[in-house]
Amino acid sequence: MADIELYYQERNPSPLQLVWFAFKRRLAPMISLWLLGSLLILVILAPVITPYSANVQFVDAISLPPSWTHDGNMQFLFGTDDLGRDMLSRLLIGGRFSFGLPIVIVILASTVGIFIGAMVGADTQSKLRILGRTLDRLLTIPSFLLALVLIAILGAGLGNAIIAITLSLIPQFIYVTRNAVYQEWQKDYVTASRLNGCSNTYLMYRVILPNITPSLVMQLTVALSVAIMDIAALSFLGLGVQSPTPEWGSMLARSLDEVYLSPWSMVLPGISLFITIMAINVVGDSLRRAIKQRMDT
Amino acid sequence: MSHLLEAVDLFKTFRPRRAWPWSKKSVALEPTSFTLEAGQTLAIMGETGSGKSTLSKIIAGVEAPTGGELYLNGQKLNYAQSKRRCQNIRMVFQDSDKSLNQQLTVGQQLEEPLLFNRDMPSSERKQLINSTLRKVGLLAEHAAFYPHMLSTGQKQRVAIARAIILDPQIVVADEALVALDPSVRAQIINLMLDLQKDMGISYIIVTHSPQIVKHIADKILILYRGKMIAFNETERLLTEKQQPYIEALLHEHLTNHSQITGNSSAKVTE
Repeated sequence: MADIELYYQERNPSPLQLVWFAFKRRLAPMISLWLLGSLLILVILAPVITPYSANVQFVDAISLPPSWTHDGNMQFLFGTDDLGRDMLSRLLIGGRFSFGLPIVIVILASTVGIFIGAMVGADTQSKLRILGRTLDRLLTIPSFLLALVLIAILGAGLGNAIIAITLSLIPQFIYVTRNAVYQEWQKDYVTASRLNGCSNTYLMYRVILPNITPSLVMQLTVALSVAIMDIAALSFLGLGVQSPTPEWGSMLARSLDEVYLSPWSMVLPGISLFITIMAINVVGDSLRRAIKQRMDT
Repeated sequence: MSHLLEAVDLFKTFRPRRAWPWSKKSVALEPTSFTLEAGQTLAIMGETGSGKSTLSKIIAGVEAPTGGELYLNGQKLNYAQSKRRCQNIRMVFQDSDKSLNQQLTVGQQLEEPLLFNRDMPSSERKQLINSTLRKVGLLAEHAAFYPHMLSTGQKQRVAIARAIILDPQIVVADEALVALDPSVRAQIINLMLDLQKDMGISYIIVTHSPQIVKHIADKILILYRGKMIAFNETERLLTEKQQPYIEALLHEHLTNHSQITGNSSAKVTE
């Protein structure tokens, strides 16, 4: 009863809220979360806040070092690359592909994967179980290798890279969801709800889904860092984002030639990738810890 | 004259997981027939693995029987008729920790059977939840609590509230008293007896505690390795000469005083 507030001034926190409280108490994960949040905002606003277009070349400012060095110029905060393109603009626009796209990919893959996994896990007549077992075999292949194979079939290009990475992530979601749903399905509280006469959709969304959120959240963070790595790696190999478009992985690949002349063109995208992936892993790890702490008490 | 519940040759066989498709099926329950009258309590007894849990699950609709029929008020009750079954036969599980959804408040869990079985506006649902909570000795405020905030006894009360909220005719309690300590167990037993008096519920109680059975059961059904070896009134089973297995089961506490359950009988019979 939400309207009865006789003696209780605080609302009773739900178990998921308790996990959030435990998460909030720790410093490193909160910093990481803020980092990811601001990165997301930067990436969304990138076309508005970039000082220059990502591909415009300044002939008089080729390989200019970052502004805080002796030779630097405040006009180009992070310097320019060997073609005279502004590094800051390229990094921000590149973030759309390196950070924004993986989020979209993970949303796509998780929607499909969780849906199929839930169906397979809830299936009691073992009709769909064969499908689940078959897809499990795909887990023996590393997801990046799977993506490479798919690229080899589909051909290089951004669109194909997105399709390949999405497809290679789906089996993991199916696996995690199926196992979680299957385990919950055996438990007494699901049986009790079933004996309440609940419909299957209610059972799935209101009864089981809140109870498997922990494993899903963990899988989401893992998949996000994998997707970032994969898309950067594919672009590094020249199979993902194509040349004039900036992307952290392809920027790294391009800077290999002049790493001794202009080290910043390699260090900056490298650091961006490093910070992003570390932040995601820290958030994921602390979530796991917070959930475990909640379960133990 | 039809009985409230009549089971005719209910049986259950299953093939163990990972067994060959042609290997022999193992028998969980051999054909069992019994009847239950309104307002009476039936105790199902037997040692571990004797099929008493299987029988209670079949009655409650958790599992489908392999064969046999179940009649409720003289009408046949199929496994697929979940609506009719859950409005008349409800189940209380052994472990209230596991049978309550940790992510939903008590109120939300009690609302669940109402959402699917009663056509009533939300204000009426709230009222019914309030009155049911009070019936089982809790407060209306407990509806806003999550299960982890309640004690074991309170959780079992919530489980009983969930069972009786639809005003059922039969409540199946599968070892519902085992996990409780003696004083709480006595409280819950008294609560169940009060509810039986007020609402005319019939109980089917699965237990291996002879004290509880002697205290509350009208009839006893004894299973041995899936086979029904006795079905009779408690009085007669206790007073007349029985086979050694039944004697041992019913008078277990008299021969073994060191049992923890032995302490509870004094409190129960108060």
